[in-house]
Amino acid sequence: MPTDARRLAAPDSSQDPKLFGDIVKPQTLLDENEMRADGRYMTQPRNIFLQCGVVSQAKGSAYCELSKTKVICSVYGPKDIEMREEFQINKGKLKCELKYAPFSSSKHREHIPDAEDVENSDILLQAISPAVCLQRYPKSQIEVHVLVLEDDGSVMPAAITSASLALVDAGIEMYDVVTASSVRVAGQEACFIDPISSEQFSRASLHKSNDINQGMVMVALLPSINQVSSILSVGHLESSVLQEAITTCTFSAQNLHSVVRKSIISSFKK
Amino acid sequence: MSDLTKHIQPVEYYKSFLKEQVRPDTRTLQQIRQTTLNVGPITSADGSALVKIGETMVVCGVKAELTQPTVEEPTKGMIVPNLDLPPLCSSKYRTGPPSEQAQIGTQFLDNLIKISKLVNSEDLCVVPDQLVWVLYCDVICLNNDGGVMDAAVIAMVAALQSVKLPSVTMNEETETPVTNFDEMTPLKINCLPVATSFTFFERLDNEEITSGHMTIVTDADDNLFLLDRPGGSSITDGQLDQCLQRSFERTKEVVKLYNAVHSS
Amino acid sequence: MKDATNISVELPPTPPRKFNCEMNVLKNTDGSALYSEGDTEVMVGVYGPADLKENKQEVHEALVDVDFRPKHGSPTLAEKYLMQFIQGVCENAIMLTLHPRTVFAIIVQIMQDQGSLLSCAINATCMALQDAGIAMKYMPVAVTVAIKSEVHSDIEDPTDVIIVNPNLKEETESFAVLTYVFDNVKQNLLCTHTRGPMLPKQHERCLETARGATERVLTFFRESITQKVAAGLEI
Repeated sequence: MPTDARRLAAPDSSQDPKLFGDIVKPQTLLDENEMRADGRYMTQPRNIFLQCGVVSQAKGSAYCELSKTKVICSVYGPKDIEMREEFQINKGKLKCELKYAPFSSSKHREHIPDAEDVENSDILLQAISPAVCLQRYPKSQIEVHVLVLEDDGSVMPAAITSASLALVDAGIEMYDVVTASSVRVAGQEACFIDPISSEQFSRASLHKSNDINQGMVMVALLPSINQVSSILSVGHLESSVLQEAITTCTFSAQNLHSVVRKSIISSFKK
Repeated sequence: MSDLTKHIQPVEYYKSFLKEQVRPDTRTLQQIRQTTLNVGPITSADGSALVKIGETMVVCGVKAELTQPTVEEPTKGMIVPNLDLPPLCSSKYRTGPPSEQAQIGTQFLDNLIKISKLVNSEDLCVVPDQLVWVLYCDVICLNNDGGVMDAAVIAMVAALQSVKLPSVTMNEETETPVTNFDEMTPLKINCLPVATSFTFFERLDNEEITSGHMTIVTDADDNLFLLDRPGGSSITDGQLDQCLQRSFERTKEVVKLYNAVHSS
Repeated sequence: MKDATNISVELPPTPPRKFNCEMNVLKNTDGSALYSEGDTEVMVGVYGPADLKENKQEVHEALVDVDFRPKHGSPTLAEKYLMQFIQGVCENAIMLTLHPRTVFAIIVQIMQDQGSLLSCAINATCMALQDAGIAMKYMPVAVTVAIKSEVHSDIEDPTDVIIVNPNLKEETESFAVLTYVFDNVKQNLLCTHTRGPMLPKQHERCLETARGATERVLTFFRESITQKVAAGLEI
């Protein structure tokens, strides 16, 4: 086992104590009163908190909180391109990095980014790059760093929304802000908006329902021009159900626009 | 003083302030920025704290997990601190493995835990030779505006102070641990150390404006745990005494903060 | 700590650790030293002022790059932590403004660690810098002291004993180990590294004791350099 000389020695493996406890997990997503685990209705998103300018050292920054899910994002640039091969004469380069804090999830995370981190950074890049006027920043790069402080579901929508807000805060020219929303599909008529981590789609949750439509859908939207920048669908969904889920997501993302607008305006008033 | 001078002649700009015994942000030389401490912002961690010293912001989350003890020390649990200075907190840092500054900071936190005997490692033992707790203390800087180590120490101590561990017993038949989350015991902290950093300015006509810094770690019982000054211009004993005195004063203020947050 | 006001007894180092220094031991370096204090031994090689990549150059002064290497393997965090002390001392002692856009590369190799490692490494580095003929503002002198409480009888309170240049056994027995670096001109403090809980009063005593011990190290420095110069003249 190669040891990391740049960090202190840690035990080779350790177990989450919750694995050995007797915590009862709810078997269904809705209880008998049609309520979800955190007391919401099926189509009710969590309250969102957004704030610009939390990191004074960065060109622009934003903080997003969806109840327990907490995401902080900062933007640096436009600045020189360090790697020669990334140099582009006619447009700028957008770099995205999404990282989970080691204490953000139930199990302690490794410091070295895993495949999931790389994939999430890619999804983030795809969702926000259509909104940035990259042709206005030739020969330079813009860096977006997102840190997930706590993960209680719907991390990607929070990351995308806060990243676009941070870009606005940095004064980067954009076509529009990006808002995002996700749903958990658990059957034909069941779209759970803004799922928490226990509601998120996983292999373990599959066999509890007889409906084959099981999955997650996320949509990133440019709300004022009403264009979709990215759709992510995981799981098995019939095309009609998928369409329904996309509509629900788009509607929910559109609703975020006013909150985002308010937080931008309040950051300018300061 | 115009804003332009600040960028064109930063040294001259700073010197003109120091001549009047103030700093550009209106602080006096001995004045420490406003410190705020918030315990328990991260619910996924077993103990957490957010510290702000001026604009500098540091978060620490402690994750407690179960592991096998080492052969050499079968009755001792482990504490693994780590300081992360991500590219998010300042333009100075790059993506990738931890910078030298982060590595030195991690070692500093480890030294502090060992020297001050912050936590009895025997307290973290569940079953000797079989099962012990490992506490991962991850300190992440969110905004680096100087004085990161001071904030990191407060965050780490306050986070450890808020840790509650579930009771664990061994099932004799299956030899697997059983955790009971109804019986939570708070982690015992032996002392409340506080770090105070100083920077020295050379009064000579030197291009370099700062000449070395010093970090002092003390607790309210007049114990001096660490006094590290990694080089710099020479300082007199009088200056050293002055710094020691100031750090003891500072410790008293921060210990009040620890206690206020902990009891609430 | 039971009683803070009890008397410190300074024992003469028993027996005083023997210093030894061989300079110019490595042929390819600009300056080198094999330096030992007791059983602790450190080898240092200095290259510089040397060329540097353009993007790393400093316009107005030279850079100091210290590589602190353990006996085997690659440097861990503990070595990197001590490295900053050696680097800090060198950065201030060397007249960096004389050599802008260059680098001083210093490789410090631990041969054997038997206590007082940091002070031994700093002294070794200074001797190597001397050997390389690099202009310095002053000569830094490093001294390690350890402080332990000793119980003489059941009736008396334990007294603090300060040991100069402790070995590994004495270091582990002590509750605090302190390393100080002074300049040889004004005897002011340049750099400190302390480990262990102590009271400010005990710290003050240690500082005094360490300052008193610098003379012996400085005398040794002078002798070594005189010997080296004399040997050079004979050839």
